[in-house]
Amino acid sequence: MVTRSDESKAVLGRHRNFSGTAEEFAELAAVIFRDLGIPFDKDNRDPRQAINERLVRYYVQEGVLSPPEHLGREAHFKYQHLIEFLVARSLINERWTLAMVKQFIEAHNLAELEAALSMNQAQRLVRQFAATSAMPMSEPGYGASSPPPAVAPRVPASEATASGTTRRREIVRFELMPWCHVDVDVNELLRQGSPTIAQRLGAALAQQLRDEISKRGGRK
Amino acid sequence: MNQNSPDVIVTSLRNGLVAAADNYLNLLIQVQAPDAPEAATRTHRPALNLALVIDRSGSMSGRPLHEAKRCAGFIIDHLTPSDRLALVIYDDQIELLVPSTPVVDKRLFHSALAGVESHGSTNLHAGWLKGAEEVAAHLALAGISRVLLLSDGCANQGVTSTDAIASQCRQLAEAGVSTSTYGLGNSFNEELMVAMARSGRGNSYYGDTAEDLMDPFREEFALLTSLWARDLRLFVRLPFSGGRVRVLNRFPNHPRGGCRMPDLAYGGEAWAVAQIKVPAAVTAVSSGTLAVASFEIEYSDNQGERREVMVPALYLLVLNAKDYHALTENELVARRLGELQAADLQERARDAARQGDWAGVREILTRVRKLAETNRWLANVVAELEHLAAQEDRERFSKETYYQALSMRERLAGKNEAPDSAPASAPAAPYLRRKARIGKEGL
Repeated sequence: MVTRSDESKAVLGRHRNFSGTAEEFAELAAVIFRDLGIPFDKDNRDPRQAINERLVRYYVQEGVLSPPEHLGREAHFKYQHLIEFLVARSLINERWTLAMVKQFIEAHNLAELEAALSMNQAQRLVRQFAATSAMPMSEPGYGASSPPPAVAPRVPASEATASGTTRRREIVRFELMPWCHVDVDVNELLRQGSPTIAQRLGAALAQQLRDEISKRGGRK
Repeated sequence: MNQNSPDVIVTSLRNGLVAAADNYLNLLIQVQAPDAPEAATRTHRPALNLALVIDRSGSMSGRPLHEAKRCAGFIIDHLTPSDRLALVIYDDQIELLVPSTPVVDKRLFHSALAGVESHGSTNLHAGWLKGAEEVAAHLALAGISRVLLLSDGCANQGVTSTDAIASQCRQLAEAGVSTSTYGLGNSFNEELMVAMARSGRGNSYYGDTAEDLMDPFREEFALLTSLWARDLRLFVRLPFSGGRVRVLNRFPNHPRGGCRMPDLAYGGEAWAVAQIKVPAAVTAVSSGTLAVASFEIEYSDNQGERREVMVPALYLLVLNAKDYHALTENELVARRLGELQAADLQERARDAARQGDWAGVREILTRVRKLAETNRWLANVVAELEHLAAQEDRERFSKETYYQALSMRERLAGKNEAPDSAPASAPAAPYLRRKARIGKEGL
């Protein structure tokens, strides 16, 4: 049996290698809305009228779509942008603000966004709440399964000292997201002890992540 | 009454208003569901899509966990193969014991529960969210999708802010996943648990001891399997300018207008007391009768269809002051108004108790007792509260007054409810009982 979700996958799969200008992107997005029979908004406006180059640029400016690649002066959009656009429209139709949409899209990778397209509103909200509380979730597409523990067992490690001997270190691993772990030296954490250390570490981590994204050509 | 629409009855405390004066009218609005058809009670009810989320933190060790498992067993035993259930347990870790599954093989659920032991602290938010994730994956328009969260402690891991958690419960309820909460003992945060259920469009219950926990589970299960209308909204419209409406039950405002009344079950009545200000300018120019308000009720039926009932305007006589004061008060409206006043007083007694002002508590309870002179149920309630106040147990008194006040404002009434709550007049459905002590089994 072909389900609605299989149909969507097939339609979207045909455009996996898409690359085009904002105008071409808007045209393709309108065709996909029509082919999948998805309403563009609550008023059921014709997607060909509603989706245009201006709307696409506005979403880029608001951070709802990730920055397009630039070939010379021309911005080029890809399959990832298409998925982001479809997810964004479904969230906006559920009365999410652009800021919330931006946060949701930033917190999920392409596979997760593709999975989000076949989710209902409640499932997307659960994902959003989990992302903001750093709670691990079941893997999309695999149904329900026991999540990994929020805090992994303490891992003993060893470290060379100036005298050439080694001393054992107690490391605790925090799983901030299923794809992001942070190892902390427990003795050092206790030695620092200051209440501001958590804020300083948080700021340092945020900066590192921004730099890494920037280095790899993504948005900050 | 037919099976497709509710009866709506509007009654004024007095059948008139005073000419050329500001008037504050108290109107009782009763929305009554039909009685359960015999066949429907046995074979036809909306499918349930539930997640049972159980706290197994260290404080639950022993009898509380044993009773929690017994209550979960009760729910399992009463579900049918058309229902779905997920089992989640949590402390500082979350464990999905059984993913959302049709309840075909009950042994699967019972054996998963059997091995649960207590330890750790309380990541209440993450446990609830895991339950919501399971329920959300199987939403159906016609069914009831709900997380039942049980805890004996305060959220002390993960997200802990009451406002943040309640806001998430509200958003998920709007998306179709409701939340009911069950507090146990004296250490749980009643404000968090009630806020979650109110925002989450479910019900809030508590048990004073582990032995008192089964009663609320029975009550909710009976309610869930007898629901006739959900997401009830009341709109009160005034046909003149300069007036004001205040719903004394303090129902939450609905995001799309009106106020949200409790879900309505077969044989039950959702009710509200609306206080309406009619300015002197309106009564000065009227003679004979005056239209004071019209009403609209919206609700979703068991198939998920949105329906509405328009209630024609209520007309009252415009009288001089002497004739107005000669009017008798409607006994039922006076009684419900008294219960709402008693709810307000209980909240004040709770505040006094939390400050350790037990003399103040006793003074406020004396005022509740006066309101109870013609209301036997209220008299039984105040007797229980006086007993608790005598023990000067702050947490226990605080929880009982908090839940009792909420119940007085939001309870479903039985149709043709008798003025007292004597056993002879007690309604059969557990969700229509008026309990003298909310947290105690059988009272």
